[in-house]
Amino acid sequence: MKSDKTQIVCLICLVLFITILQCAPDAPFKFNNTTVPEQLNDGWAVGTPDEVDIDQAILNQIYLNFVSEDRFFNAISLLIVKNGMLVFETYCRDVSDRDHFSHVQSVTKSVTSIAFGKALEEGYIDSLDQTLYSVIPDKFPADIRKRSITFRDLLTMTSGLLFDNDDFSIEIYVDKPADPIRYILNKPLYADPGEQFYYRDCDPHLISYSIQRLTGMSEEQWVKEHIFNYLGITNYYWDRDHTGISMGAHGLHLIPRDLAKIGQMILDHGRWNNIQVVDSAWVEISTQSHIETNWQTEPFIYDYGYYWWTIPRRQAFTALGHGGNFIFVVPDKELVIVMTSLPDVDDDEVGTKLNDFEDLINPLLE
Amino acid sequence: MRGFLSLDVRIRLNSLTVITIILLPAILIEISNSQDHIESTANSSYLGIIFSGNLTSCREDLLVPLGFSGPGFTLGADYTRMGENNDFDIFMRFGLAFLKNRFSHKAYAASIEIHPAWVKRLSDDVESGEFRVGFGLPMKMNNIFIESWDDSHLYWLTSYSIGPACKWQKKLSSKREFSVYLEIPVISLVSRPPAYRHNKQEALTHLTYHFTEPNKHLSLELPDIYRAFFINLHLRRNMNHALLNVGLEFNYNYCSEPKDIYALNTSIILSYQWRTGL
Repeated sequence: MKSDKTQIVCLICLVLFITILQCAPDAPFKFNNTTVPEQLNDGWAVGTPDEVDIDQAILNQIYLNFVSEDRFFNAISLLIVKNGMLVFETYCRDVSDRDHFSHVQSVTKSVTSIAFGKALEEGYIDSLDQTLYSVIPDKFPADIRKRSITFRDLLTMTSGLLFDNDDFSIEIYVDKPADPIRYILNKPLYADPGEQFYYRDCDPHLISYSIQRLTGMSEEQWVKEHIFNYLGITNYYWDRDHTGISMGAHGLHLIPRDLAKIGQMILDHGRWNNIQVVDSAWVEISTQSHIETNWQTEPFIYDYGYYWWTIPRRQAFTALGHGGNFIFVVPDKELVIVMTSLPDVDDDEVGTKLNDFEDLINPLLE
Repeated sequence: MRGFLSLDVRIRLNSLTVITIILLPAILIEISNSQDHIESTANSSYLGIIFSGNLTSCREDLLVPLGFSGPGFTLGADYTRMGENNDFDIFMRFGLAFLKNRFSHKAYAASIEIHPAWVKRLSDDVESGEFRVGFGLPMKMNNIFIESWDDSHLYWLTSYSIGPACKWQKKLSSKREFSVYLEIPVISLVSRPPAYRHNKQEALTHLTYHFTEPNKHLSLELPDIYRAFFINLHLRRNMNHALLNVGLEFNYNYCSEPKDIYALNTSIILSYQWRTGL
């Protein structure tokens, strides 16, 4: 009997030993890869850092920080365009990410800004001071204060509609109200329209629906026909709510090179391949500061244009999507920097915030 | 010592310590008890409750190939029917685990398992013990919510399998028995999340979603895609009208589609079963 017990104890010790070994092992989640862009037939001219007077040592420093596994955990890609040439392009998770779109979250808002500018240019919208009520009166509740919401209010996140982004995602995507626009406009006001900045997804969704009502096309169709076709953007996905309205706040999935095209078009005052895609006046006005945001901690002060974040101390502006998705534009330096990242992370633990991104690219900006 | 060990190693060692502290006294008490004559368990049925403390570990490469591990527990019910030559056992368990990776990023795992098994006696020898073979039908849902890396989508490995099983058991005394059970699924219906999800937000706030979604897109898989095994070692004490079981269990699940996922569990199981007429 004693030997039985010894055998059993040995077996149990063996299983305990297996327990030590049983943890799923980590594997590398970032990889070294080339930073030299490949010449493709996609509308991009590629160049070398020397050609555009960028010190290769600076790029090396940025690259080493970018591929480190201890920072920028969820990063997918980093692209640098200078003087209209793609000079740096790297993918740290999988080289195939060059050709796969990923969800760029609120970068979509900046595309919605461009779409709105195009609708304004085409005469579908009278002015920024036109009220939303004048376009969709049938969707408005009885509260007459909401009838004064203008497109300018929507573009500067000051509509006053109290609808936090976390609630928006759950209620619009999951709970699926019968009429999402009426549902949004039924939300209470946190302030009078035009008074107070509050970054929310509901305002761009109202812009998207307005474009749909005014043009007869969904925002996706409108953008495809009037912007993406000129930029050669074909590999994308634009998410819709359950009633078919393009998600103007965060529905776009794009490949990194196409994000860079949008940035370069904005840098070039709305032109791409010598075609004026969007009115230069709209590009200029939409990327200027119009309102202070709640991100005002020195030195990281960020203001807001029309769905573009502005960085006054750098004379720069950026599209910004949750998790670490950026189209960062510095007109004075003829610079467009694009970063894409896994989109649904906790920004405090895993994601890349705008100030972290600035820190990464700072050597290029000084 | 802390200074020399990374956080994830410390988490693993802490979990191991907990397991060892719970298990070893139970085993020692069980082994050292005096022998009394009591009734045989043959041709009897038992129904009871199970509790286990787990060390859970998983890696979901669809999101990031970082291992997450941490402690957890399961609660459930167990029914055993012991015949002269055939044993039937079925248990149902619900489990939760609280995981972290080496950067202390958080994740949660929830599991539901229904696990029937039949084994038939092949040999019975007083000295070498009794050997039984049969098959098991493990049905498992392993849901993982990797909050830090994706707070909008659920990840899962669901499997409904069939595979051979064998059991070796040996009487240590008239009221104590030790057994080792091994089961390897060979054919499985497996569900995994799609490789790319276009939706921003899944219905995580709806409880039913956590049961329905991981059961969609089931596909028939062989061990080239889905591999698993299940080992259970336990000591059973016959208390005349009840059974007290103390066990160690190791559960390994791996699927290579659409990308690798590992889900592993080591558990200390305690169950108490009452004799029933069922």
